[in-house]
Amino acid sequence: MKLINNHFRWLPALLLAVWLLTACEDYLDIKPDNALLVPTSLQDFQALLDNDFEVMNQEPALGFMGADNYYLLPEDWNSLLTEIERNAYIWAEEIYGSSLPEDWSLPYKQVFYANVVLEGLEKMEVTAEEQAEWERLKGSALFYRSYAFHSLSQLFAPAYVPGRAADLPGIPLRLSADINQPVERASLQETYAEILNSLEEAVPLLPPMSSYKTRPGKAAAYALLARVSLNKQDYEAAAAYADSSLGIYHSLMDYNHLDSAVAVPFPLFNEEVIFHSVLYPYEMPFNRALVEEDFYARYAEEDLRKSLFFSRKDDGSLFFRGHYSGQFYFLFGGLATDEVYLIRAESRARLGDVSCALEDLNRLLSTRWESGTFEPFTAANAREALDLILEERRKELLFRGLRWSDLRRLNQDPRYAKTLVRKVDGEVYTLPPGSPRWVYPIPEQEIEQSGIEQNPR
Amino acid sequence: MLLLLLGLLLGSLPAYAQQGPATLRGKITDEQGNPLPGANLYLLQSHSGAVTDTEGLFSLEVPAEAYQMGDTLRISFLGYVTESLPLPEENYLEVALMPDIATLMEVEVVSTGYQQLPKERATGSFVQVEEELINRSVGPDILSRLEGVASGVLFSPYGDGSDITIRGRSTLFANEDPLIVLDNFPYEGDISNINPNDVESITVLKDAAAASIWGARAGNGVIVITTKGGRFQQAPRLSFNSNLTIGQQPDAFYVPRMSTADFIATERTLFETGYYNFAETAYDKRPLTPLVELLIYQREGRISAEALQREIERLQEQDVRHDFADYLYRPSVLQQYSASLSGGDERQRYYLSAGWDKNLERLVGEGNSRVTLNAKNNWTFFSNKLRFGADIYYAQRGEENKGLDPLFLRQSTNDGLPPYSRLADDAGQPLMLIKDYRLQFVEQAERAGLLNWRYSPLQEMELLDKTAAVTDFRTRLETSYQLLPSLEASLFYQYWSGQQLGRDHYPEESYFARDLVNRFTQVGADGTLSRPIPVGGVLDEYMFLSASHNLRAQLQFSETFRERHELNALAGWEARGVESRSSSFRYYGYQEDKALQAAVDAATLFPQYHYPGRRLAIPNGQELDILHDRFLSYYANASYAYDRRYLLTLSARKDQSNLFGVEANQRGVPLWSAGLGWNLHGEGFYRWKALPYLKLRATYGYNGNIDKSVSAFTTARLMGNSWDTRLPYAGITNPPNPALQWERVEILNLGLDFASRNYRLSGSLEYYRKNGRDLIGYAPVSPVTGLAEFRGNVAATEGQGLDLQLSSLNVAGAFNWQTDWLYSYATTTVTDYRAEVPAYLLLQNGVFPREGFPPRALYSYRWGGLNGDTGNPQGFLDGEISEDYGSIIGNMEPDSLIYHGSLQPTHFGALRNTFSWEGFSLSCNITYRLGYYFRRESIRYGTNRGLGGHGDYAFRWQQTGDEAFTQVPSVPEQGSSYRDDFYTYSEMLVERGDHVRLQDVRLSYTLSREVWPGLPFRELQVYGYASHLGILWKATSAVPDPDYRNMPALRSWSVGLRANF
Repeated sequence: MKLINNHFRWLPALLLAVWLLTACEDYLDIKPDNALLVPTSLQDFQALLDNDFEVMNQEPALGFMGADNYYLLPEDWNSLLTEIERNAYIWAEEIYGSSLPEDWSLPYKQVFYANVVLEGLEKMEVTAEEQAEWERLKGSALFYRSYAFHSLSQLFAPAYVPGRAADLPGIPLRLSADINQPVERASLQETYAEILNSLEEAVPLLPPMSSYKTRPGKAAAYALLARVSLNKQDYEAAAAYADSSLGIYHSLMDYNHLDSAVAVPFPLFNEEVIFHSVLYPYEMPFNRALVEEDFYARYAEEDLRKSLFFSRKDDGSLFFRGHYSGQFYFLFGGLATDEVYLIRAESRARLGDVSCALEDLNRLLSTRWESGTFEPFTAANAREALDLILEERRKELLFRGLRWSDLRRLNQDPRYAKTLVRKVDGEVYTLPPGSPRWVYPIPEQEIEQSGIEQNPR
Repeated sequence: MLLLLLGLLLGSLPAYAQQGPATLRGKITDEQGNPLPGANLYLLQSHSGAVTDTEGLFSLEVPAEAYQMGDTLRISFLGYVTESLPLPEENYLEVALMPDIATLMEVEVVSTGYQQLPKERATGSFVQVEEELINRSVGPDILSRLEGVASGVLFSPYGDGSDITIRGRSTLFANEDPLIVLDNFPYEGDISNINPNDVESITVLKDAAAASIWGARAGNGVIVITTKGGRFQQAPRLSFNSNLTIGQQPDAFYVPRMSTADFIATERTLFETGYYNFAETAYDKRPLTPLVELLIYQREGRISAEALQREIERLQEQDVRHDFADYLYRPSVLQQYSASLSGGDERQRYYLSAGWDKNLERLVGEGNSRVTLNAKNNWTFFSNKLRFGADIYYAQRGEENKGLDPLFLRQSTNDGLPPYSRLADDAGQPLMLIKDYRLQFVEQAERAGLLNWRYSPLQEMELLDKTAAVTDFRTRLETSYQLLPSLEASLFYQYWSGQQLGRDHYPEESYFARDLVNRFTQVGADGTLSRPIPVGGVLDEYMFLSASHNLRAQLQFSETFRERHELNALAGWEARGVESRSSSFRYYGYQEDKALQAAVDAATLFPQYHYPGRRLAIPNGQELDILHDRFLSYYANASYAYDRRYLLTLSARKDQSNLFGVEANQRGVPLWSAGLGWNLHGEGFYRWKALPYLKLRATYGYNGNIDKSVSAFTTARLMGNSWDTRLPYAGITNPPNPALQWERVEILNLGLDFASRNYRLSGSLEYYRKNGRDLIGYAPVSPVTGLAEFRGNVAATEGQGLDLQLSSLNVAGAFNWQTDWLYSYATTTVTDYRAEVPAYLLLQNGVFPREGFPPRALYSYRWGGLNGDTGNPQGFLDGEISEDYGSIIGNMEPDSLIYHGSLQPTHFGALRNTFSWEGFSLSCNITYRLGYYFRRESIRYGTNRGLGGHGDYAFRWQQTGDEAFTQVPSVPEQGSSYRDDFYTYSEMLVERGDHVRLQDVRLSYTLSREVWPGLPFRELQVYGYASHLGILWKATSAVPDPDYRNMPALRSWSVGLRANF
């Protein structure tokens, strides 16, 4: 009896020990914060790509700041909030001071997000029901990455010169989320090829139009292909891509239906928007940038854009308010049908198809004029048509960050080359065609960390 | 499952109870009847032994033959005279041991939270603060009572960073707070829920040997709080304590500000230069001060120059700080009452207590009250073999938080309150202030049909209802069973829940509610108004719920072999889980009396009435967070003593947590420590009679620290819903980092303890090295990677220091004078950091690591004096005097900055003198903090000529020659943040922080029945206490108090009464 007792006295402790060592295997598998996730599902990837206003649907604003279409009063320039805004206005040698501009880091953040999603998608085992969604997400990620690469190439690499692109430096093309991969600048040709190839790959994966304008569809991919091709001066491709985009979506707003008494006449995600993106919100573009009276005078009296795009401050100065972003303080930079019409019109004019070019232009402008007052534009030849289209392109697409790329492209043609001039406090600054300052310097932090080649200034 | 196990344990018990009468039970105490845990009992001939438990109780199995042979029982305990007595016939024995005259060393028992151990057997660094010392101060918060009495513990008066630092900083960016352990388990709640009157002792664990039992959370040190319990075989004792504390009213004029006259003059100058032109027509209707409005009136010819002058003269007389003193501040009044009842019989002991606190804080409208209830019970069964304990602790706190801090009283986000503002008129009637919008816009809006848009801070304070109710509930069960005379198994369980429910009610009449309604009011094409936010009150409700389960199973072994070998060991397993939820919600159109609320459209973006270009969604104040914190740990700890002379301790622990995104095999971190001790006085050769107690200690090991913000996998966080699409979206918070590890702190501790004859001089000296390994820090990466910087195990620190504790009984007898001196030296240096922090960041106050310097260091620009012609500050550029501030700042390299020293005191401590005579006792504590620097505040001119800025404005350079007696720059013609930054961060404004402070004085008188037989109580103490009495010496003359620069250290005076029946 005593023997048994002696054995039994250990039993509880033994049982307890066994239970403790085995019962709690899953105990530590719970997430420390329910809002945290390791992105592995389609839903997770979608949530990353839907990070619209913090990451994915923004783009650099340096292009806007360096271009014409606006001016600053000297006292406003003096009191600008950031060095970047002040220096970019006068095309100074140094732009960023000690800060790392979002204009460089934000697009690469988008590239990182896109790469995380692309690599995550590759690792997934996809069920049949998930296949369509999987494809849409892959197409989207490729689109966002190309969009970011293209924005960067317009600022930090020289303008595309057909035939010379292999010898010109491009931007670092980041195709992996691994932070240990070396950083190198690709050539300009490789840069454009990567952008175009990824977009071509994305097109069949995407739905025609997305249900949200912050997400890309085929129409957006084609529109971006058209924009990139235009900047590449490949007008045949630009015309074809614009055609494909408009084939899917070609809605234009009749400006007669808009109310110019409202502070911001164009609503968010308006009918013409194909893909929503806004310029990084520096304060200057929305709060201080003014429009020259001469430029304003170039709009016809019946042109509704005169009242919908512009307004006057109490002191009488003109400012722009025709943002397609739906918010006064965000400049729209995304893709919209008006731009695609103008790309097709320009490309057709350059390819010699004057009547189709004018048809596109008149189709667009007829929605901009007061009802019943529009007289279709005519041109005697392709050159006249092109002049007309380029003038209307500038008047339609101002304050969208597109003008910088246009100037870089058009400066290669002596007919359209233009020297920009700024006057501040008696000093006159100029930016002539061919100046190295048409390419922004790469931020110092980047040069320090990766040692890539700096742009000459 | 737990219950089942308990059942099993209980079920197997009767087997023992039948083991016969040959069990000797009893209790070993000191001469005062306090239990001696860990005392040894040994039968010399039959070689049977036992050790007393924490209550001093033992049960010794006596073989039948021991009685026949007339065995001898030897009872020994370190520091006490060993007793040898014949084996008694009875089966209950109580023995009081006498202190060993040879050592005279008081036996202190320290608690690690896992075990109680006599300090003599310890090798680690423990600081024990006993009840008497805890009760020396009277604050409602238990931790603050450690200030100036616990060696090596540094309090931050400013609340910048951690409030308490033990032996310097051992992490850069991870949690820097010490672990708080309450009755053996980590405490998750608000420390202010603990009634200090229930606390028996506090032990601070400072080195690896002391703290490594707490493993991965011990890196910043551990503070172990033990609450009171009853005693076995003690008649019921009733205690009562009450005190009243009056705190000084804050001084509204403490920080010098630009005078009203200077403010008015500056506004006029700014007006002339057109500074307000932009604001006059600003798109957001930003407010202008009353004076600027008057100036506009005068410009427009609506008032005469004379009328303006009269108004200005009137305004010049006013200073709003008088109103702060009259309407917003008050002296604080803190009341504290507590009562407890404790006692016990042979088998059961209990402790019951109740406390009530009521505090009116220094801001009108701020206060709180606290009720605490506590019941602790312990039982023993089966001849003391089975023990069971159950505690319940409940605290409820009510808070009112509607006080208005003048610091937050502003005209708008950008502009402070003009000094000529008035909160109330001469009759005390509340006055309106300009707030958020221009007066003319407000008037025009009201005419257009919007709600009254005026603001009066005093009315607002009256209307608001901001309260919170906090409850804290804790229950603890423990049971232990003596499996063998030397082996005990224990099971502990604790459940804790903390709850905070708060509400901020802004009634319909409040400015907060009216302003929201107005801002969202929409104007139709025909001028009709619609209100997306309905007229009514706004109610914000928030809730924080947290609960934890702790379960611990432990085996303890305690045995003495062949008299000289003492082995104590414990091993255990524990699981800990905390779940917290927080949520908040906002109701619009709220009517308290009808419990009505209205739905609003939170999705649409509405143009704002005052700024139609801005569209905002109605803020819904909705937030939800659910957090889980889980640990599984294994630990073991052993100490071996040979002949009570040589000590060896070992400790190891492995923690695993639910650290997110880490592979299961990487979740854990093993941490260990080892220690050696040598009681020199026990050696035969030791003959030093003046110092009968001398002990050397050395320990080495690792503690850990956790940073849950990093992860080995790419992790993302769901951020809520996008404004534009209402789609849920996520952001990447962590790039993948497969090499991630937990932070470790390596600690070496060398100690010496000594006591002179008759205890006249005693103390300890410790030297330590404390090195942070694999610390989480930032490393720069190429922005092309998509990251601005990389966070990982990239940093290391080295620290070292000294802790000296000395007690001296200067005069002993009827009149006693004792001096206690604490001195600590602590430094930390960053030894490895991959990112180079730019100079401009190093100048900020904060943690900016730089190799070779403390993590929080003070740097500055070299100062070249003021320019005699312009009063411009001058610095140095390439070694030459320069006023090119942009270049000075932009080209500054970290190495070119002047390094002054640490921002945290490197030498600190306290000197406490206690005098007692008959029933009187007077004690006075002086604290000192030395070897650190701070940057004092001064004027920054901004773009508005320093409007409303620091009072140094009055001492600015104004004309040539001023540079001889002032270093405050002139008002610049063109404001420049570079110029301001250069002056702000120049060496001109760096001061030494060293100072000595009269921390507190306590006077008490005790009436005791021992002296006055026939008193109705055993002891009665009346006491007075005063704290923060003032600075005795400081190195700088530039500020009144280096540690309290925005708000004076508020003096307080207390009177109290403590009675024991």
